Amino acid sequence: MFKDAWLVASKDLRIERRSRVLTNQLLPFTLVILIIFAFTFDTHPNLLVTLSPGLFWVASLFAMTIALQRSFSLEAENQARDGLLLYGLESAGIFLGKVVAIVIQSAIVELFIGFGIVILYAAPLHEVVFLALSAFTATIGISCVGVVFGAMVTGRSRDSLLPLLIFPVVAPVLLSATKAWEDYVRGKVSLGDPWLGLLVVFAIAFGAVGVLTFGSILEE
Amino acid sequence: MSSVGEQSMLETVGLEKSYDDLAALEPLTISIPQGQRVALVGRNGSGKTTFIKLVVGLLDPTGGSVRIAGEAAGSLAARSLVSYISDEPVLYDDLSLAEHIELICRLHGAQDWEDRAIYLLDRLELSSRIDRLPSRFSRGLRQKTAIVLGLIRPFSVLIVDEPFVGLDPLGREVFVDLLGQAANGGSTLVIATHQLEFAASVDRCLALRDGALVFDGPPGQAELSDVVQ
Repeated sequence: MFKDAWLVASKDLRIERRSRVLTNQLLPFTLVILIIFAFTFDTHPNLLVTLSPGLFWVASLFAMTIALQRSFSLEAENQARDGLLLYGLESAGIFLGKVVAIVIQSAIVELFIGFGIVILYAAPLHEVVFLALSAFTATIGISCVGVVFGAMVTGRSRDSLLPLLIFPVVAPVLLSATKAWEDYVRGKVSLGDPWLGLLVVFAIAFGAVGVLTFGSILEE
Repeated sequence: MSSVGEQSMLETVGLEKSYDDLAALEPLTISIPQGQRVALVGRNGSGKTTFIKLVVGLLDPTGGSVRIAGEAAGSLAARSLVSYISDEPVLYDDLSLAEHIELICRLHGAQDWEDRAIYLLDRLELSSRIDRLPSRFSRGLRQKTAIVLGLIRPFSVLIVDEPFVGLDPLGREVFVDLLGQAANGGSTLVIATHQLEFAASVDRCLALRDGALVFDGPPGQAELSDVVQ
C-alpha cells in the first residue's frame, strides 16, 4: 500500500513540476487574495493582524480546492482514471498517494501565504513549530476530505460541486486550526492544546474514512 | 500456430450487460485457454468493447461472472494479470514517454525492464521521442505509445481493443509481430478488431452481433465477413 501511495504521489508531483500549476496559478492566486484583503482592511491594520489566522486558512482552502480539482482532472483527461484502476493498485494506496501529493503542494502554498501575512500584514509570528504542526495536521484533514470528494465529482461535469461539498465538512477543521493559531499568538503553547488535539482527531478520522471508502468511490 | 495450454485463463459464465432495456451483451459463456490467440469481431455496437470492459473490470456485469485465471475480473489479482491496450490511449499530458514507461514498470513491479523498453521503442520507432510528451504526438504515435506501455508490463492476458487504429502499415506489421511474440511466450491474447486479415491468422474467432455471440470457432474468412460487414 505505501509503495503504491509513493508511486501515485511521485507521479502527481512530477506532473505538477512539469505543468507548473503551483507556481503559475496557485501562488499568484493566493498573493492576489492577500493583497485584496490588505487593501480592504488597509485603514484597520490591527484588524488585519487579528484576522490573519482566518485569512490564512481562507486563502489556503481556496488554493487547496484548486489543487484538488487539478489532481483529479489529471485522471479525467484521456481516461487516465481507468488507467489508475487498471494498474492494479490498492485503492488505499491511491488515496494516500493523492493525499501526500496534495499535502506537499499545500505546504508550499501555506508557507508562501505565511510569509505573505508576515510581510504584508506585519503579523507577529510566535511558536512557529507549533503553528507548523497545527497547519500540517489541518492540511492532512482537509486533503483527506478533498481527495474523497474529488474522486466523487471531478471529470463528470460536476467539478463545481467540489467546494460546495468540501467547505461544510472541513469547517470544523478550519475553526480548530484558526483557534490553535490564536492560542499560539497568545502564548498558550502546549502539545496538549485542545484545538491541536482536535485537528489530530480530524486528520485520523478523515484519513480512515478515505482509506475505507476510496475504492468503491473510484470504481463508481 | 502457438501451442495452447489446457488451463482456462479467461472464463465467462452467463456474462451479460444491459442498460435499462438495452442488452449490450447477452448471456455469454466461453472459456479461453492459456496461450490462445482470440480475435473478437463484430460491427460497431456489437458488444466488443462492452465485453472487453467487463473482462478488464471497468464495467460491472448485470449478470454472470468473468474470471481471469480463477480470479474475479476487477480484483487486484486479476488486474495484475491483464494488460489492456485501449483504442483510446490512456496517457498523462504532462509525463514524457520515458516517464510513462518508468511509471508503468514500477507500478507493476517489472524487473529488468530497461532493455525491454529499448527493444520496444526501437521496434515501434519511438526511440528518438523518448523524452517528448505523448500529448503532442500524432494519433498513430499515441497508439504506438499505448502499445509499448501495454507490452512492457508483466501480463498473462493481453486485451487489445481496435489495435490498428491510426497505425501505419509498418506499425501494423511490427505490432502483429509483437503480438505473436507475446502469444509464443504463453500469454493469452484477446483482440477486438475489424481487420479480417488479422482475424484470419488467430487460433479462434468470436463474432458478436447485437450483443450476442454468433460465431465461435476457427477463423473462416467467408463466415466472418458476413458478421462484420
